[in-house]
Amino acid sequence: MDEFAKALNDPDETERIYAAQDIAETKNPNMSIHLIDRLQIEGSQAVRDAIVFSLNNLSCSGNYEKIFDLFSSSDPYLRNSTIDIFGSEGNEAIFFLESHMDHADGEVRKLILDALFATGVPGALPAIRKGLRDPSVNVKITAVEYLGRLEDRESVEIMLEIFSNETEAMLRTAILEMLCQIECRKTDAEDFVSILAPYGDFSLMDPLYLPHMIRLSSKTGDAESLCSIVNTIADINIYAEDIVYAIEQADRIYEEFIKEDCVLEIMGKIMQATENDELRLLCEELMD
Amino acid sequence: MANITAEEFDTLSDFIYKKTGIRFESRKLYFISKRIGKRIDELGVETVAEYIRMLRFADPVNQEFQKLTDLLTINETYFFRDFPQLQAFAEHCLSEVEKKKNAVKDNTIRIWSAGCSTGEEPYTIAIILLEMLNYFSTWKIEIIANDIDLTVLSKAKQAVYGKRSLRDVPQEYLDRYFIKKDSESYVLQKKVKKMVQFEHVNLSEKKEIRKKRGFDFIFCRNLLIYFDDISRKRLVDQFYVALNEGGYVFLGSSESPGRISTAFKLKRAGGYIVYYK
Repeated sequence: MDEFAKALNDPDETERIYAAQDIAETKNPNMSIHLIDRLQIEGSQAVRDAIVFSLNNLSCSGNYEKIFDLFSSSDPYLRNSTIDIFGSEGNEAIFFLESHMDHADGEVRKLILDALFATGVPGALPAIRKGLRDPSVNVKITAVEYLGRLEDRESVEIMLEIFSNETEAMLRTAILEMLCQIECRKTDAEDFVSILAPYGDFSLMDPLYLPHMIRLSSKTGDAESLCSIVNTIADINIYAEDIVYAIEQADRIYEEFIKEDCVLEIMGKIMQATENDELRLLCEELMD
Repeated sequence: MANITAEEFDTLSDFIYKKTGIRFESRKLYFISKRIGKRIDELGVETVAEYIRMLRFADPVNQEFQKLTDLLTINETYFFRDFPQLQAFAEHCLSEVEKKKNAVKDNTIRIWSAGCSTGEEPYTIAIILLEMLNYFSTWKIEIIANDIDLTVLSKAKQAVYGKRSLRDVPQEYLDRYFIKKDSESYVLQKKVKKMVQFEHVNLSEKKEIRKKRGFDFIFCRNLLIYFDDISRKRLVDQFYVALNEGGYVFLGSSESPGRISTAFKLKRAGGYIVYYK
């Protein structure tokens, strides 16, 4: 074993690559410390790559603190590799990562979420949800995105709370995007509409959120909200594609959606206004 | 014909993996089952379990295992396969290496064709060198081609090819480098044949592949898909080690070196992305 550790520090790049490969073959978790130590000073990208691959195939649970320090590295390769290493640890790393979610540096907390997601295990979900309460907007956005990809319905309620309290547009957009990804109910969409269009006044809806709200209302089969949103748009051409594709999506799920008078009226308006032949053809097909 | 069960498949698959690094996933059960069934019938063995026992305990020099490997590896290939990649090699990478070598008065070009099957790839490379290198006779060319399958290597050395293998060969090259044998086949000319040196190599054998060094170009196309992550990574790392500084590696069109290792640099060669050391 000492022989491998020595070879890992050999002046010859090839010997160091081979040492990293040979260490991985030993499957000996005690060897991971040598790889981590070398990784921090290694200058050759080929060796770094071989070391990270080996670490991904060895259990590193005894050296989490040392690996974790790499999250604070100024080298993006090391930061990204750390995500992969923790990711390859699966369930084993969840508790450790979760216990560091109060780290002072928001960038590190964001990387912890990346690593939790990379584990790909269900146990990571509650820890990622904690990211929604993080003081940093960037961390919150990351948590929202991952929860969307994990189709986490359980976090919809807290998303609604954040959406009503936060004004940061990027965060709000991420939440709406997340809703578009998961199995969203009509009542969920209505809750969000009530925040963006208080007292049912759709003219108060910020145009920034229109594309998402068009998708969301169609996705949940809410023709009434869709029509109310579209009716506030002065130039329908700007959102023509968003509207038609959203209606097409709704048509696949809800048989009656396309037959609603107001939806037909919208399609008629778009067909008249658009210069996009493909879009006009799609409208014709949908109305057929 | 003997039928192979899922358990027998797993046992055999593990056995093959340990010896070759090639992992047959369960979705390939049908494909593997038919071929093994045929082999078992030929041997007159009763069951698959008995065949596995035979491989384990009654095949000391791996003779039967070699036959099994020959049956299971796919060898579909043809001359000038993946033309855009070869064009990048011929028109950009080769001329760049040629210039660099000329500048330092080095007249050797070494090429490794890993997983060469019946020889179409290394011979295509040889033809390209004959066509593209200036003052060809002044160069010392070494094309090393290897495969795990002895049957295909034997065919490669014979260098007799049918229409299927020759379907993408431009007519002028066919006239220049092949001799018509009969209505169905052509023989490669000796001057091309002697440029390629064939070897029987198992690319999962660490000791064997670590000996490979000093290449200007490495071709390993459509082979890595049969390897599992660890074997694939080890082999691609070896490609890096085996390349000279500035040397190029060419994998299959669906296999990107960048997805397996971050060691290589990449650049555009014509309309093609190439990876180099």
